[in-house]
Amino acid sequence: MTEATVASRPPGRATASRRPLWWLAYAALVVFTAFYVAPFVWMIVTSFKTNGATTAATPTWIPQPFVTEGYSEIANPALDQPVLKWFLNSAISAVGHTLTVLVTASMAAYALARMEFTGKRLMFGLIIATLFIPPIIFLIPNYLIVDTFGWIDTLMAVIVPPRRRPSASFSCGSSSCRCRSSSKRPRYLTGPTTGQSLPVSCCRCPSPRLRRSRS
Amino acid sequence: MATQETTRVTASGVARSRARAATRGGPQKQGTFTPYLFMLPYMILFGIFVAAPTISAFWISLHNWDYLLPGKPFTGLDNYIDLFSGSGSAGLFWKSMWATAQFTIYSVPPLVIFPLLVAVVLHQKFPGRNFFRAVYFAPYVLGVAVVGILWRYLLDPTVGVINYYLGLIGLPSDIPWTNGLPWAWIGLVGMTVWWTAGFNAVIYLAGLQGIPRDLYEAARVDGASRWQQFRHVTLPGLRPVTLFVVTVTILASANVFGQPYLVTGQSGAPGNATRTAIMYITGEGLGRFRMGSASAMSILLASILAIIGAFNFRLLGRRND
Repeated sequence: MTEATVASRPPGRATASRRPLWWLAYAALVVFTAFYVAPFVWMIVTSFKTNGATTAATPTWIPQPFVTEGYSEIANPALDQPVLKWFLNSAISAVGHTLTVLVTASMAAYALARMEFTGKRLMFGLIIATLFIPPIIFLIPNYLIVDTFGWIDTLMAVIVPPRRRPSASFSCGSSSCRCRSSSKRPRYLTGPTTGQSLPVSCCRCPSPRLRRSRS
Repeated sequence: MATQETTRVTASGVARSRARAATRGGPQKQGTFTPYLFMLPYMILFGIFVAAPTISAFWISLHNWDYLLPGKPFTGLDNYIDLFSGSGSAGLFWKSMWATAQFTIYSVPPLVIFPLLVAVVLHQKFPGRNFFRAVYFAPYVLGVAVVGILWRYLLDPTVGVINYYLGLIGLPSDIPWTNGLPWAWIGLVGMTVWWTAGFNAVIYLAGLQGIPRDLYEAARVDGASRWQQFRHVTLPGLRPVTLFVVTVTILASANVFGQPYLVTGQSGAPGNATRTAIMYITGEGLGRFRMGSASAMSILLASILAIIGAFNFRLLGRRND
């Protein structure tokens, strides 16, 4: 809050008033952030510990002894746990799924946000409604569906089927569709591609000024 | 930029860029089939992998469906009636629904308010801002398995780091974070906030960037204090974004599975108290092979969530319009 006051003032005064309160707030932020990042650091530190040291009664932040066994095991081809292969699988499916979502969901979100057509509300309603269904219930039906495509035991089974995120981008699309009147503003035209400008429009559009211009 | 330079050079450039701007910005100039072609790729995937399984799940819920047995007798609404008549395992299901409700009630307020504070602070200009932004978003990139195992170690009642440091500052060092109440809820909510707050903060941050600066200037001219600016400019400007955050957070919290599964165990220690609905449904369908009953439970949960979602939209979405 304190920095906020400072930042919103003219630059000349900002430096002058940037003394005690500003530093206090900054220190508080640094301390809080240190706590926030601690579990992350702990995880990294633990990765250099021996198995026994990970659950030592007195936790240490500097591994004693410092070992890299955890990492060398990952790269060891002799082990029957091909971790690197798993990483590769994850990378391929992540990239593949991202591309699928990027292309299909952004196109659909663009249509929902910027175009008028019969059945738009129905399609949007359907998509939103399925958001509420617990994903676990899709498991068995999806297994059977994926099986009919012959995708069992292939990465296609994780790349193609939509998961939760596409729905999120749809919700974004919906908020930008409510302020379509403002879509001629230049900032919407400057995005390199439709797909990239969409999330921007989703979050920028619902500002008070635009809402005023709508009513 | 490139367009602007062109306009300076030639008159035809002006016409061209204007024409382009009109076609790209205007919703009016489109063919009849254009929107449907845009919708087609997603709707195909949606139809096959979301709509069809949903219908199939409803169909399954009307049967006594054990996927290992050849016969799957049609039982009508029996699976639903069983849940409401309290027969068999219905009591355990409702207990898990209550656990889910508790987790949602405890986790949604911090997950809506804390990221807003983070976003407001990280929206200011100060040295190292991008580093701080990265720190608060970083946990979100971890998978639930990583977060679960990490916090299982941190929260461990005997060898956990958290209890160790609590002991150092003179607090009880034997808090049962993984097997006692209310500690298990505090641990689960805390780790979930740590894990997902960054995502909500990024959405808020994008929302904050969309609030025009001149509104703040106008408010200052009118003599609005810092708090009044936040209350009357920032919060109204963020309402649609908040609606999105609240809805998505309620859904995510109601579908919680990984955190209790990994930290308080498969049965949801202590004594099933932290076994959530998704954990119970998973056990019912994939552990006890009663897919019909599990589907009925899912559809019941989905219906409740849909009612809450609709209520939420009504409450937050329509005001001041």
